Amino acid sequence: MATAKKILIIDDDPDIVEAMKMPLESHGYEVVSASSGQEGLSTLVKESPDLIILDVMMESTTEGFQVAYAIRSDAPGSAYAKFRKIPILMVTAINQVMKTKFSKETDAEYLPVTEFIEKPIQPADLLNKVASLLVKA
Amino acid sequence: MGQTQTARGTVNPSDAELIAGVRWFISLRWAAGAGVLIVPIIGRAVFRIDVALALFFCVAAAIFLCNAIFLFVYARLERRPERRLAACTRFAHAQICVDWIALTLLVHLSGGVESPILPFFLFHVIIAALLLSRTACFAHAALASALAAAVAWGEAVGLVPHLSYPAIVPETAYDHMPYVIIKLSFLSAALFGSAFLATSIAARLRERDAELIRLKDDLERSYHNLENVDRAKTEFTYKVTHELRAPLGAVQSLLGLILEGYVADPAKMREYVVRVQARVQALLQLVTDLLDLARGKMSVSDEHLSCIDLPALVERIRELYRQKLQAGRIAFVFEKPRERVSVEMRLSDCERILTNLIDNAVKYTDQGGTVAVDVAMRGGDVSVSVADTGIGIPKGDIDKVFSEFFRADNARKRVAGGSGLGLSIVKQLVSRYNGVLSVQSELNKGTHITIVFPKGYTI
Repeated sequence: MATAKKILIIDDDPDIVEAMKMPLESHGYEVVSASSGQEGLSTLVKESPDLIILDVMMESTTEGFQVAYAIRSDAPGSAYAKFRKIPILMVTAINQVMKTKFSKETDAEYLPVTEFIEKPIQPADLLNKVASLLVKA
Repeated sequence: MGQTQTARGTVNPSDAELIAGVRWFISLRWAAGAGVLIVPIIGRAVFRIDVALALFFCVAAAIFLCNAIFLFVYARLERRPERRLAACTRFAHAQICVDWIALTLLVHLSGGVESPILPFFLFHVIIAALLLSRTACFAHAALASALAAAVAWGEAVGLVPHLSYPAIVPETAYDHMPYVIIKLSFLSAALFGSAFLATSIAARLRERDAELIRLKDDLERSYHNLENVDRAKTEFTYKVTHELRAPLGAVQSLLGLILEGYVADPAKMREYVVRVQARVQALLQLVTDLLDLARGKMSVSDEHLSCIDLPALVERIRELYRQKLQAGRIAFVFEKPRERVSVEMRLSDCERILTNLIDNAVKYTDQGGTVAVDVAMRGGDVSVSVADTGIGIPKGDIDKVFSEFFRADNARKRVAGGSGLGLSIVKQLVSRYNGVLSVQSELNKGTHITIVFPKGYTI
């Protein structure tokens, strides 16, 4: 078997991390996690994952976005240049709270993430999306 | 502009009032100039009065010319808002003075003290009252009196010729000096009387205007405050929704794993149920806190006030925390005061305030630390303080700890399940009894929260 794909989960809710980690690990993925944006970025550099699962609302309502922008930044000398093209799966419950609907079609230009998944996490949905993002990448 | 209305604004005309008045004054002058042209023609044609038309036309032409200049100056003033009030005041003075000269000339041309237009001097006193200050208006009344007297004197002593119109006044008035003096005196009295009345009315109108502006400002301020309150409420609802949603999302995600058969290991299953249990417990606490917060904000309560013995209440809460204190080897220092310390409050409010403060102190104090509670009467005020040797509050966060849902980073790391509402509830409840809440804290040294309920506070 080829080396397991590595997934980085950045989420401040340990129960949500667990709910994603469990099915992913049972399907042979290697999972690392971080509980804040800053920790997530340093783990990214250290672990070089194949995919990031990013929570939209961490401590501030914009932390998730800031992490995504930092990774996608094309500023010269960006510390994350290596990961600019990494698939990002954004976890959110926000589109049910706010009127704005986040989706690939409407926000691709503004939100540099590849795919969205909603809370509560449905394991089958999560596994499907992760698999298809990794195939494309 | 309305906001700058001060005491001065109620006595003297405002910038806007003055500029509008000056414009109106210029419009009136066109009509006055036309009158100077037409009236002598009518006098000559209808009443066969032998007036020197050419001289009247010259005065009319001068009036039109001056008015055109005034219009030009006005247009420039209008475009220049800075220092306009002073410039407009000077401009109004200048216009009135020019009018005085024209009027004096016309009075002279139409018979001096016998002139039928002598009472027209009153108009400008009224205009001065509308445009200028009371003092300036009286000065203009004095100037008008002096000008009328000067014409009469000049004509009486033969300095200037007296133009008489036998068709109007059969014999010359200057032969009867008492008549001249009486007429001029009454004119002067009328001028000063008008100045007094007109400035009084103008001042009263201005006061009313200023009052209206004040009312409007007050209304605007209240409206903005309400808007802010509304915004804060929306923000609060948004945060509450998020805070309720997060644990529900976690619970549902964990239950989903179990239901869909991802958890085969019974130990893992148990771990997940424990996790779910903890989230539900936190959710329940959050809902209780939200209810308490709402209760603190609402002014009505069906619970009666009672006289609460504070030392006894502290002892009761201490009993509730006995186990936690022992487990954490935290010393609870409380010295029962010798005097009686009591407050008039609803028991549930008082319990909640003290419990929240003591709970925080215990929660954020390390093993071997101390929690010290003190209640005392201070000159009639009731003082309650809770001090701990715990983790403290980061300096920049001290102001925020009473905000709803705020939790400092170090508190969040230490205790995961807090709602961030405990101190908001304390603040709400304390302010309900007009209490004053103060907090001193140093990171890693401890926190000291003091509440003072003033003597004889009312609800």
